[in-house]
Order: sequence, then structure tokens, then C-alpha cells
Amino acid sequence: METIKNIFDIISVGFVIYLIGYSTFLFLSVVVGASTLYKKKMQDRLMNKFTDNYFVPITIVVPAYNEEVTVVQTVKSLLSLDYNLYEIVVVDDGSKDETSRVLIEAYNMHPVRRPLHRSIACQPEEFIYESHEQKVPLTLIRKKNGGKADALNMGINAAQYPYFICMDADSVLQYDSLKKIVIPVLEEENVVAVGGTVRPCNDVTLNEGRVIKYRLPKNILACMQLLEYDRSFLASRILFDHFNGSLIISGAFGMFKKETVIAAGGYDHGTMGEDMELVVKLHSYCLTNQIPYSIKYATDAVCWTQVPEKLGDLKKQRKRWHLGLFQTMWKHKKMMANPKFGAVGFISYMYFLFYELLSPFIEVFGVFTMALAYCIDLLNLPFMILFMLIYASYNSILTLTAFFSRIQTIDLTVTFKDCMKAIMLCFFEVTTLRFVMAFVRLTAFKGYKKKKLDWGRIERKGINI
Amino acid sequence: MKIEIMIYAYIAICVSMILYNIVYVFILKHREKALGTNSAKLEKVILDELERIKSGDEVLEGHKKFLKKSLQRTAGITAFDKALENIFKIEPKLCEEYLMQTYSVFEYLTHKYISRDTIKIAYFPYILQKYNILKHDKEGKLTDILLELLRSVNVYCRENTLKAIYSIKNPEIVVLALKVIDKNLSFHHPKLICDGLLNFKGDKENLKEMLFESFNAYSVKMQLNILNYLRFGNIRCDKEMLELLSNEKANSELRFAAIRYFEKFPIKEAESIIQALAENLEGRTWEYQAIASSALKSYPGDVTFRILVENLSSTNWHIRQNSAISLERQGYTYHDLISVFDGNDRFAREIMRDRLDKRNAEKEAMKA
Repeated sequence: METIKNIFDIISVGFVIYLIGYSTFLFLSVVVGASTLYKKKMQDRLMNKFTDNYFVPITIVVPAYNEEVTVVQTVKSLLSLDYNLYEIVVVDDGSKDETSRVLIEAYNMHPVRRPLHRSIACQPEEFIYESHEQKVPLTLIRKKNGGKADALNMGINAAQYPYFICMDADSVLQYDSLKKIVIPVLEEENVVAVGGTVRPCNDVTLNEGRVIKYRLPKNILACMQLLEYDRSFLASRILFDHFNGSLIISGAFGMFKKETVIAAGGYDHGTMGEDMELVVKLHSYCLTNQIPYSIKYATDAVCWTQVPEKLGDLKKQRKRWHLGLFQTMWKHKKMMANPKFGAVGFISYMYFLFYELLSPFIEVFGVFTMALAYCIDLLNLPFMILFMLIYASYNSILTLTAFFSRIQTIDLTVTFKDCMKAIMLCFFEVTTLRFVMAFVRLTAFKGYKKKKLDWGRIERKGINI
Repeated sequence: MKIEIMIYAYIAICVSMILYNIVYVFILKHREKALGTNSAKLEKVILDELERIKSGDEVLEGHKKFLKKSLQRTAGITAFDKALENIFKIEPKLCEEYLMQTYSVFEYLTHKYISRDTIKIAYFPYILQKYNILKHDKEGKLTDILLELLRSVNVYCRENTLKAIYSIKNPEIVVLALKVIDKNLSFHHPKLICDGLLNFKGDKENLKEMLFESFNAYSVKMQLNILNYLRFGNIRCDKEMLELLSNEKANSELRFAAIRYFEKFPIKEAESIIQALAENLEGRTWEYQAIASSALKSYPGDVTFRILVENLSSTNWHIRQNSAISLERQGYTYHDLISVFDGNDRFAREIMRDRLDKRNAEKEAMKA
């Protein structure tokens, strides 16, 4: 019995250290994130911004698979962006629906026999359509199905400008997002990638990329994801940005230097998390070849996206993300705590390993241990409840800090009712959704080999644009 | 026991976080409210001075002292900007006179601001440029300080200062400013320099002369910015560009800029040089051939046609692409290019057909 007690003691100390580590990280990242946003606000107030328009040429690559319902609206919103020098390339990855046809008809596109400069290998094209009647050149490439990464590689091959943006066909870029996302390129030398901010837009009304009416989603699940997005974008991404350690640029909105991405080999066909894999690959490529580089995060370049409103869809999405994370971490395992990769290997990689990849295993193991300890009467129940309450309250406060910092610094206003909703739901998100998602991520590996080229469809409502 | 200590630390962090958030929200609210109140007060004070100017009097010394004191604070200068912006819309001429009479205040403040945090410093040249205050600096007393600000690590401070310098409309100071930026270790994006120079409203011919006089004193990067500015700004400098184009020893990037210049402003003397560059590599990099093939669109003729058709079969994708574009822009038809379409080079055929199809589609679109 004494041995068992000792084992439980060791486990409990281990858990407390793990949680303290995580909380300290959250604390640091929220403080750094919030103060960065406030500093940004002060910079704007004191005209530390570019007052003239400087246009860096950009290609927007929109990979699409079975997007006949949303693709026309997405392109319409892209055509209304407040930017002068860009082109749009839609890549239809062998859709089974009428994605290409609706786009051709809506924008009066005509077939061309354009030869493509294949810098990165990808599945062959079936046909190419173009339209020069729009504000900017619009190209549609229909290709053989090969997955999202393959579609993005095709888009890079077709891109005519030195920077490209990858985005999802069902997302909407805010009207000023291009102007904002190029700022880091103008500010600093050797910027090879810039991540934008992704915000859920369920129940938000947008018109030509402008927010007309902002409100929190009516759906509770979507609302909790909004809180989670705010915490994640405000917290870790800004903190990692301070030491050039960002490992993720969301596939929904990111800008990359074409030349560097091609040199690094483009998107990986074999992973589900192609967005994260590309960023990790860029770190690895530049550090290995001693190329000066930086990967930045533009807090005010906003992309609005639909988040799943059904638990089934959310589960599918999170399983996919977790598999993608695993595949990327495994592929780049040489970076783990490797001095050659500096802070990226020691801090970013280790954070993602312990607090993202292994966290569902650790959390579920924790719950299991508690249940076991309770059964054999080794659990100090009042202490445990107090501990969990403090942990939950702490996380809730940090979530709310992230939420309100975001709201204040991007000049959105929320109603009192929505504030109350956020306050109430944040506790629920930390105590319930997080654990449900831990179980979901734990089962992510079940049958993952079948899903390699799967686009991971989830049901979406149309965006109010 | 150790676990309890950790939990107490946990609670302490938690509480400090809440306090941090609350204090920040209050500071922010207070700051916004204070800006509105202060600018309203200042607006009233400035309007009183404008009334004095209107009636032929001068701005009171007391007012200047008040400005010297209050505008030293960031809150003061932001309130002043807000107030003056509102008044400028109604009384622009009186405001000009007011700024001329209070010029000594800004001279004084420039010395004060230079030692501040770079974010705060950046705001000051912005104000100088926004209200064109430097035009009252007849003796150029602030020039050295402005040039010093260009050494800042803050890109916005450098950018706002450059704009303030352009507003002086003095080419000599612009040349000096570019030298400082060039020597500075901090990165200043070429686009900011080139597009910024395009905003210069002074004597552009004079600026061109002075830039070429000191051309060799700049780094290649800055030389490239200057050449691009001249091209984008439609400032003719055929002689200097021709020298660069003919100089085999000149830096490749500069020669590329010269080729692009002669694509925009074709002259007879450049034709044979560009044709030679497009025709063969002779130990040069492929970029020469690609850029020269693109420039040849401005030099139609039999020799150019022959070179471009040959280049359609190049192994380099960019050379093929640029040659096809040039042939298309020169108005050649399927009939003229029969040798390409009947030839064995599939890549040449495809790239040329695409260009001609595109031209037809554009024509159709224009008709529609």
C-alpha cells in the first residue's frame, strides 16, 4: 500500500508541475499578447503606421473541393478587397460537384491553354479558365484530385506574384486584410511568412469584407470555439512571434514568400496538417541552410471563418488537426530540443509536444488516475476539488482577458448580453469542452491511414455576406 | 507541502492577472476620455489666438510658453493634433499663419522629442509633415536633427521623418537623407524609399542631377532604388542609363534596371545592346536574356522578331514566357508565327498559343 501511495504521490506532483507549467505559459503568453496588442494600439494612435498605400504584389490561392455553394461568394468577397495589386487563383481539386461550372458561369470565364511553370510537383490540370473582366485577374484551374496540399502546390505553380496567400474557399477576408498582412514584409527584412488572425463569423454580418453587425454566435459550441480561438491567437501566437518561434500559420489565412516555399519543397502531400507542416519546414529549411528569415504574425489582418456548430463536425475537425500535428512533429523530430534549431527546437517544439500533442494523453491519464485514487481512498477530495476549481477559474480568467483584449483592440463592440454569455461560457469551455476534446484527440489515430487525401468536410451554413 | 506552495503561487498569478486587466482597462478608458476633453480645451485656446491673428495681432508669448510645456507630453501633442485638424478644415489660412508664428515652439519641441521613446518620437515628424511646419524653417535649423532621426531603429520614425524631409522640397536634403538611410544598419524596405521619393514635390530635375552626382557614394541597393524611382517617376535620364547598360562591369541588378528603363523609354542607341543581351548569354546569367527579351517588346523589327522566335525554344521557362509576351505585344498573328506552330517544339507552341489566345479574349472582352 505504501508503494502505491508513493506512486500516486509522484504522479500528483508530476501533474501539478505539468499544470503549473501550462498555466505559467498561458500567463506569460496572455500578458505578452495583451501588452503587444495595447502597444500596437498606442503605435496606431501615435501614427507608427504606414499612411500611404504600399502594394506588394500578392496571389491569393483558393483551394476548393466540392464548394459549389460558397465559391462564388468567396470570390466575390475577394474581388472587393481594398488592395490594388493582386490576382486570384482558384484551384478546383477534382470536385464531384459543380464548383468549376458555377464559377465559370458567374464570372464569365473563358478557357485558356496556359502552360504552367511547374516548380513543385502536383497532379496534372484538366483545364484552365481565366477572366480579365474583373477588378483583378481571376484564374480557375481544375485538376485531378490530390488533396488540399496538392491543390495549394498547383496554386503556387500558377501564381505570378512573389507572395501568395493561402485561404479556405469558405472563409472571408476582411476588406483591409491584404494591406495589413503585408505590413511585416515592409517593416522587416527576410520575412518569409506572415500569419493572419482567424476569427469565427457564425452570426456575424459582413458586407464586402466589412463587419456590419458583430455578435457572439447563438450556437453554444461555436461560441466556446470563439473564446478558444481568441485565447489561442492572442496567447501563443503573439508570444512565439517575439522569438520567431511560430510553428503554425492557419491554413485559413497566411501569406508566404513564393521563392522560399518553392525552395523548401512546397506543401507536403502526405500530411493532414499541411499548414503547420509548411511552417515547420520553413524553419527547418532556413535554419539548416543558414538563411536569415523571420515568420511573423499580423494581429490585425483578419479572416472570418465558419466554425462547426455540431459536435460531430467539431470532432472530425479536431481529430484531423491532431493527426496533422502528430505527422508534422514526427516528420520534423530532428528539431526536438536540438540546439541547431535554437528557440524553435527548445521552446516551440517542446511546447507543442507536451502541451498540444501529448496533452490529451496526459489529461485523460490524469482523470483516470483520479478515479483510481478515489476508488482506493487515496484522493484528498476537498483538496482536489479546490485545485480543479482554481485551475478552471484561472484559465477562465485568462480566456476572458484574451477575449476582451481582442474586442477592445480591434474596435469591435459587444452587447452586455454577449459579455455575460462569454463570462458564463468560458468556465464551461475550460471544464467541459476541453476534456471532451481531449478524448476526441485521443482517438484521432484510429484508422488515420485512410484519411490521407481526405479534405475533412464539415457542414457549414452560408456566411452572412 | 510543496504542492500547497505551488497552488498559492498559482492563486497569486491569477490575482495579478485580474488586476493587470482591470488597471489596463481603466487606463485606456481614462486616456480616451482625456484626449477628447484636452483637444476641446486646446481648440478653444487656439481659436482665441486665431482671432488675434485675424485682427492683426500676433500670437501671445504666453500661448507659446503654454504650447512648449503642454506639447512635450504625448497626451498634449495628440490633443493638439486633433484640435488643429478640426480648425484647419475651417480656417486653413489662419492656421498657416498661426503655425508660422508658433514655429519656435516646434523648433524647441524637436530638441525635446529626440530623446524620447522611438514610438513617441515617430509622432513628431508626422506632425511636422502633416501641417507642413518645416517650410517655416528658413535657416534649416532642424535639418541635422531630422537626419539624426533617420538613424532610428523604428521604421515608422524613419518613414515619418523621410516624409517630413520630402515636404521641405529641398533636393539637397533628400540626397543627404538617402545617404543616412543607406548607411544605417536598420532595414528600410526599397518600396518605401522608391514610392516615398515619388512623393517629392520639389524640383525633380534638380534632384535627379544631384542623385547622379553622388551616385557612386551609395550602396548598390540604394542605387537600385534611385534608378527605379527615376523609371517609375518618368524622369528621363537616357545618358546615364545608357552608360550603365553598356558597362559590362556594372552590377547586374543595376543593368537590369537600365534594361527595364529602356523598355519603358525606348531609344535607338539601346536597341542593339538589348538585342545582344537577349540573343545569347556569353557567360551572363539567364536573367539578362529573360529581362532583355521582355524589353524587346519596345523594339519591333526583323532582328528582334528573329531573336524572340529563337528564344521561344529556350530551355528556361522565363525566357520563353517573356519572348512570347513580347511577340504578342508587337501584334504578330498566327500567320506570322507559322514556323513556331508548325515546328517541333511543343513548349514554344503552347506558350505562344496561350499569349495569342489571351490577346483575342481581351479583344472580345473589350468589344463586349
